[in-house]
Formats: sequence, C-alpha cells, structure tokens
Amino acid sequence: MRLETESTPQTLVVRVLEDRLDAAVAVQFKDAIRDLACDAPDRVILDLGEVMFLDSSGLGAVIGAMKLLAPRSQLELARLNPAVIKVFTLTHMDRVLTIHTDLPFIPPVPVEDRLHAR
Amino acid sequence: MPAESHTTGVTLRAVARSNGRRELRIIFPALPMAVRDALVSTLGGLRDMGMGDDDAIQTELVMAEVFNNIAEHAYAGREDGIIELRLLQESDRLTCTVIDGGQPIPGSDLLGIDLPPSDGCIASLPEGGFGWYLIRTLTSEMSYTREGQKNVLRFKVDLTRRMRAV
Repeated sequence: MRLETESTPQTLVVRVLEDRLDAAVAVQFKDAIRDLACDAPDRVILDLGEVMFLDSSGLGAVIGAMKLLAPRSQLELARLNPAVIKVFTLTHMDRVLTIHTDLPFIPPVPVEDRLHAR
Repeated sequence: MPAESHTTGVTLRAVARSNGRRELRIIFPALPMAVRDALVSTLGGLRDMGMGDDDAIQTELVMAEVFNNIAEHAYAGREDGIIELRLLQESDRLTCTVIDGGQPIPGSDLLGIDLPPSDGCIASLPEGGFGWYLIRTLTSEMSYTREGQKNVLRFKVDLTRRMRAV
C-alpha cells in the first residue's frame, strides 16, 4: 500500500498512491491509517485523486479509517474520480463524509515551522 | 485472444457469435489479485467493444462485488477456488453468468436489497454489508441456482449507451 503524507500542525494530507482501493488492499489501507491515527491533527484529508476504482471493501476501509480517527481527528475526502464518487453516492455515504472536489486550500506553514513539523 | 496473464492465471477468451451478439468468457482464481486482473482484462475488452465510461464504471463495480463475495464467502478460507464469467454482449445490455464451485449463497444475502442500518453516528457506521446492495441496485433479472456442486448466478446489466454492433 503506497501512501504519501504531507502535514501542517492542523492538517494532515494522506495521498493514496494506488490506482485501486479494493478488496486486495483494504486491510493494508486500514492498517496504514491506524499507524497514522495516534498523532494525527484535527483535520485529515484523504486525497483519492490517483484512485480510479473503489469497491465496497475499499468503501468499508475508508469508513473504518474515519472511525479510527474520530473523535480526535475528522476525516475529509478530496479529488474523487467518477467511479469512486459513484460508490459513495449509491450507498449514501456521501451524506456522512465531507467530500471536496479539489484539494482544499491549506494555509502554508512558515519555513521555520516547516523544519520542525515532522 | 485468448490471452493469459502468467502472474495470476487469468484466461480471457472472446467469441464472436453469428447472431449479432458477442461472448466474452474469462476464468480465473478466486484470489484478490487475480480478481483485480480479471476485472481489468474484462473491462479492457468491453471498452474495446465500445462501452462508454458510465457503463464501464457500473459494470466493473458489479463484477467486483460479485467476485469478491465468491472469494470471501463461497470459497472462504480456500485458495484453490476458480471463478468463471460468461458475458453475452447485446447492443444495450450485458447478460452475465458467474459460476463458482464454493459454498451455496445464503438466501438471506440474495434478498438483501437494503443498505446496512446506520443511525448516522460515526462510531456505529457500517463498514460492510454494501456488496449485495450495490449488486441489486446496478443489475436486473437476478437469478441464482445451485447446479450440482456449483453456484450459478445470472443477471443483466443495462447499458445507457449502445455498444458497437458485431
């Protein structure tokens, strides 16, 4: 499971570098999020821009990730491709999750803070 | 075609029928990576036949849910399971037959046309139980028969855009 993270004190962006979030990687994805959950900031944005396909196992893993992060951190989704958004819409999970079309603007961190951020 | 993926053992065969219909047949192991390859091969074949994006998204999702159910439930705990898919392509719909040699499908699964219950509270959101709901929502004329030691699931996927004639 390839993930890339980018963090500021208030926000963690988790970018999924896989083209499929499906039954083959759902457990690994949830495990990876569990590892990040303990020191995650208030806001975690899951960037799914690279993911072209998601099945119900992938959906379950995203919901599981949201539950692992709550109540300390709130999970938001960004850059969902048409095949991915369709699964959220069909299952009405789009009503429960915050979904952004684009990656939301994250205020830049001053250089000095950036050096100490991670 | 036939083409075979040597990594996961997926075999794909496209058969042109004389009556204006086309059949695609694919046989693969009921394992997550082989299911993935089978989906990619099948969808590649259907796109080559002129399937549009929306129909491809719907078809791939249905297939994925059906195959994952077989791998996780019918063949639970087994690694030697085989799945066979036969797709008959007509201009505006696909007739699908999926065969496996695993445990019978519980009748309650087939009846499951509702979303898993949720009270909207994050802690109690369902993480599973969406598969059959998605299958039932995206298909029509679903039928299931147990034939000898095999499960035979038949259903149709209605297409919004006509595919090229054979």
